[in-house]
Amino acid sequence: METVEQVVIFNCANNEFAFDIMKVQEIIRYKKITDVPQSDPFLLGVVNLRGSVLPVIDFLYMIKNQNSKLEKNKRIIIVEVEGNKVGVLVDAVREVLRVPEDSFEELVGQGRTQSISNVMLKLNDGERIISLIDQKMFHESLHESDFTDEENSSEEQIEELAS
Amino acid sequence: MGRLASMKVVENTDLDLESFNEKREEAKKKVREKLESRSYERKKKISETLIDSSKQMSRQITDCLEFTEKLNSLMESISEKSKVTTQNCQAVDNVVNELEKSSRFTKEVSNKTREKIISLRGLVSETVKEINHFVLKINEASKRNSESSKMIQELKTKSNDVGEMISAVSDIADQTNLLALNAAIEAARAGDYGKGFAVVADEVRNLAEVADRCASQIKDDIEIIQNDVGVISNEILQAEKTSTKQSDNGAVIGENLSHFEVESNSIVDLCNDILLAVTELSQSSENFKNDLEDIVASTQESTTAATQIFNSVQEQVKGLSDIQESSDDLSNMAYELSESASMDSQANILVASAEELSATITESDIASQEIMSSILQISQGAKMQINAAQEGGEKIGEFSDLSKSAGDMSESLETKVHSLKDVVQSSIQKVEEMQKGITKAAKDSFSSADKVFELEERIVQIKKVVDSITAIALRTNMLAVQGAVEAARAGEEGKGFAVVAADIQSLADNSGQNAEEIKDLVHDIEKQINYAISDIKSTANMNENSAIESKRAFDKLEKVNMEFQEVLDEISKVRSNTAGNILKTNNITEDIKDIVERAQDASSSIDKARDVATKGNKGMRELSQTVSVVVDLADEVQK
Repeated sequence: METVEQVVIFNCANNEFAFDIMKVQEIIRYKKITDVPQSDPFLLGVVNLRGSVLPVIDFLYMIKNQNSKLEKNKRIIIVEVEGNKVGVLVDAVREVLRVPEDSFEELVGQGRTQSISNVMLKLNDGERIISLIDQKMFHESLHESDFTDEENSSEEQIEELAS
Repeated sequence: MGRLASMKVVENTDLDLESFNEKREEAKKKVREKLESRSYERKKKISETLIDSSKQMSRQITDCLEFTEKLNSLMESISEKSKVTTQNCQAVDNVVNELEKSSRFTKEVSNKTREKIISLRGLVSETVKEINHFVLKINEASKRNSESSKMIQELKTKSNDVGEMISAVSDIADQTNLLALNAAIEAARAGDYGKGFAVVADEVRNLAEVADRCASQIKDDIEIIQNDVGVISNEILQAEKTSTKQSDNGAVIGENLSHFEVESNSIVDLCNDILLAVTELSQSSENFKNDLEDIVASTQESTTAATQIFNSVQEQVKGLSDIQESSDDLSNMAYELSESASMDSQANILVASAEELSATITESDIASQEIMSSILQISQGAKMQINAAQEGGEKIGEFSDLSKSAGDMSESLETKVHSLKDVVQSSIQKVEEMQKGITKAAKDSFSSADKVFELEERIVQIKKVVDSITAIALRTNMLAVQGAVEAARAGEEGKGFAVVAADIQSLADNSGQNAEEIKDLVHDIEKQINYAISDIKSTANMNENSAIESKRAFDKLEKVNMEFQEVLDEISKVRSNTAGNILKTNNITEDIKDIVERAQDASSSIDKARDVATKGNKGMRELSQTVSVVVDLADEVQK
């Protein structure tokens, strides 16, 4: 089981998720996203961050297959996915948390969410359960998108855009 | 006798002269025969005359009796008419008494009405003053309401300002939050160097979250306040509208009641006119009663005179029958006289009889003189009666005119009082409406004041929250300083942290400044709210007082209305009375006409009676002459 020392906790669709802090580069306010034509539905477009263009992924689409409403108070978390920087659109970023070692719990079985996370953070005696996003699974899920025909192109696109 | 004695003397002196004597006797006899035949002639002639006279007397007596009978029947008719007239007069007198009674009643009511109207006029003008007074107050309250409304509206813009400031605070909190999060990520990446800074960043982030909650709480409060301000200002405007409407109403009432004074003055004038008319009416009826008394008195006199005539006639009739009897005796005597040899024995009786006749005729003559004078008396009485009745008729005409005009006046009095009462009644309705309106306005104002008071409570709450924002800014500032220290301790690795710490400090400063400004604004709002509360409350009190005053005015007008009803009731009684009076005076007029007619009838009857009596007198005189002839004859017979 993968364990981490600190996590960045964020909200999406009234649920809490966490990224390993070491994979998070920074958090920015929602800013104008430029559309990318013929792209995967989870890809919202690209943003310009201090001169570099980053793809922005709709986290809601990753978990619920729905597109988020684009609102000013949303946040974009810049994460490192398998060596590439990617923006993830979330509802809000809650906090930076140092996670006690005994709070990790591995999930067994299949499900949509499990495709990007198989470890839960159990806080406050299980009152607060947070899905820890697995970087690898996250990366894979981006490549195993519904649009297999365009898999390569989209991946290429993302990588292209990311670079 | 003397002659017979002298004849004896002659016989005694011539004794031998028998033949002479015989001759003498013969001559004497011849003379005696001659004498006898002469006296017989005379006797015959006397008795014939007597018989003629008695026959004539008898005829004359019949004539006289006829006259007396006529006289009697005339007197009876006069007496009958007098009786009817007396009865008429009594009936008229009763009616006049009734009229006088009703006049007194009219007078009483008119007096009462006048006094009441005068007192009501005072009451109404007092009420009008009161109404004007509270209408002014209502006007002022309305003005104040509009000022209060403006003040409350201003609260809206001021609270808007607070809202904007709070948005800035919220923005700062957001920025601080993001900054703190990124700093924490940075610190984590820096490993051991970043540990101290991570603690600071975490705390800053927590504070930023609290500040954000505070800001959103204040935002909510501000939203509620703005909403409430809208409601309150509407409510106050509503109260203002109500007040304005009621003050308009008050103006209408004032206008309506201002006619009251003029109208009531004309009613008082009318009452005075009626009083004058009624006084004239009683004067006129008093005069009429005098006339009536005259009629009754003269009728009484006529009746008495007629009774006297009646008695006299009775006596006359008795005298005449005595005369008839005497005349019959005389006639018998005359027959006897014509057949008897000697007149001597009858002569005395004849004389006595004639003398008796003469005495009776004198008595009868006196009676007829009396009748004549009585007739004169009746005639005068009848003339007086006619005069009095004619005068009375004129007065009754006057009387009728007066009571007609009194009736007309009381009718217009009724109309006027009625229309005035209508004015009062409509004013009552308006005042009631006013009272309700003002009471509602006062209630609304009180409720507005309560709502504004709630606003104040909310503002106090906001003040507390702003205080905690200030405290957070201070604490963040301190943390930023601590962060700068940590950054310095980290040396080269902490350079990024130093920048972040400076950013946090400036944000905290901004937030603190904003909080201070919000405090000032809120303080301002609080002051204004306090002003508004006291203003609205005083307006409400004003309206409440006005409502109490209008209730008082309502009660007064209600009283006025009731008294008007009483006055109207009395006036309608007078009206029905005067209508009856006109009818009654018409009846009297008819009665008086009857009296005049009857008196004129009586007068012509009396003229006839006078003729009859004159003729009777003449008959009597003729009878008297006949009697004197008889008396002369009787004297002659005695000789």
